[in-house]
Amino acid sequence: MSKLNNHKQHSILQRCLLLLPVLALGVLSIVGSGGGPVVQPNTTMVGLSVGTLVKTSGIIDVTNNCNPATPPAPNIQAWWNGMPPTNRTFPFVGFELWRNTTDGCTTSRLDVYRALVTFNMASVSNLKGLVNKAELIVSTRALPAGVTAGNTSCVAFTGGAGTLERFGPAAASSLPPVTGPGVLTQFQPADPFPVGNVVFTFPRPWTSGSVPGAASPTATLASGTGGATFTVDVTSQVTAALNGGFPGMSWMLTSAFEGPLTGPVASGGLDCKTSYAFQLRLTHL
Amino acid sequence: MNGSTPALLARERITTKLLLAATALGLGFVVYLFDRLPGSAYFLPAQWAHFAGKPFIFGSVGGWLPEFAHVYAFGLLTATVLGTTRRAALTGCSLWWLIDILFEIGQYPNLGPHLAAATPVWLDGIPFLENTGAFFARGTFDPADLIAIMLGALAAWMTLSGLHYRKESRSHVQTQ
Repeated sequence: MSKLNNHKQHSILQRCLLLLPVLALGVLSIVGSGGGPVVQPNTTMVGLSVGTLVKTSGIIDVTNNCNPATPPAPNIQAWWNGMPPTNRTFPFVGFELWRNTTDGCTTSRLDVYRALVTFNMASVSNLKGLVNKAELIVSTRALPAGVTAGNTSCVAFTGGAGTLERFGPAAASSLPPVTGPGVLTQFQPADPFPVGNVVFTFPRPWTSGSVPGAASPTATLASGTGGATFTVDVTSQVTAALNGGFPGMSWMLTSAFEGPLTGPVASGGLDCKTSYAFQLRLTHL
Repeated sequence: MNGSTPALLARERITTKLLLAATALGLGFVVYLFDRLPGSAYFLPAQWAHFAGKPFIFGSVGGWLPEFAHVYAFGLLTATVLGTTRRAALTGCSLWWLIDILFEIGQYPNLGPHLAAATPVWLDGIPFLENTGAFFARGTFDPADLIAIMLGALAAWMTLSGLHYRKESRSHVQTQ
């Protein structure tokens, strides 16, 4: 009888000893399953390289005397070289119209500018899986003198920007060069500009609020310095690029007027080269 | 006898229960890994959640599956330790139903902050237990979890009943 009691007591003790870790594990797993640490989201601006693309086309007057050209034709390379280095880091988009007015000459020229930006996604590859939100912020840095009332291609707030285009992650290697300090690439008239997918068309005239017809949710606000800022939600594209291990993501601004010229340009021409700033802001844990 | 002695059958039962419990716990963990935001749980560091930003693969089921799995798994484990009787099964299932329900109610918005404030300071620095206050203060009370907990306990009870009934019948036939 005593042996039986001892055996029973031993069995109960054994069960209790086994039950304790089960209870502990169960309770700890409940406590650990909720109320995670408060994680403040961090913001990271992705490094970028930029380029300004330009292509010239025009009309040549062969019947009138056009020499010497008045005013002198714009010298794109000289303009670029004479610019402060900082300004080259904010690529240009828009157009410049020139007209030679010597002795009734109708020779005209159109220089079309596009702004290209590539963000260095390799530098933020450590954020794979951690990005909550990614925003592409496109804002005017310097508006041109050509912004005048009544001009439908060179409008207030956005200048000569026409559309924002996005390139697939694999396109980076086939695009014109971009660098941190900014680079100018002059296209031959026969060479086509790169073609991307339109994200949105700049509203003309510009109005604040949600941009209608945008492929990605886009909102625009006045920048307070006479320009405008466009914020595009690119979370899904950035997440895909990070997950796919792509080294770069590229966007391009096209010009509001890219020709071709159908007749002589009005005397005095028009400078609608607009400088833009790009930022890719990642909100992540 | 086919080697199916009572001892072997008992071991087989224990193995089955342990496997079911482990599977349920594993499933609950997978839900956290895939479908919960990084850092949303104490045991889920932000770096573990490699799938954030992707669509949740468990959908709405992911909201309550871990609670179901927890009470189911620990109901089975506790019953396994307590023995093979119906009382052991009932004790194991009802104990975890009660524990899980109390913790869930502890996250109720009007109650959670008070419980968090009452959490002893000495828990700080103890792994997992240091999260007790945060569990009550920042956890999410969801009535669906209460139903999941009840269903989990019921499922554990049914599993234990079915398992024992099946095994007892088999054992009975074999010993005839």
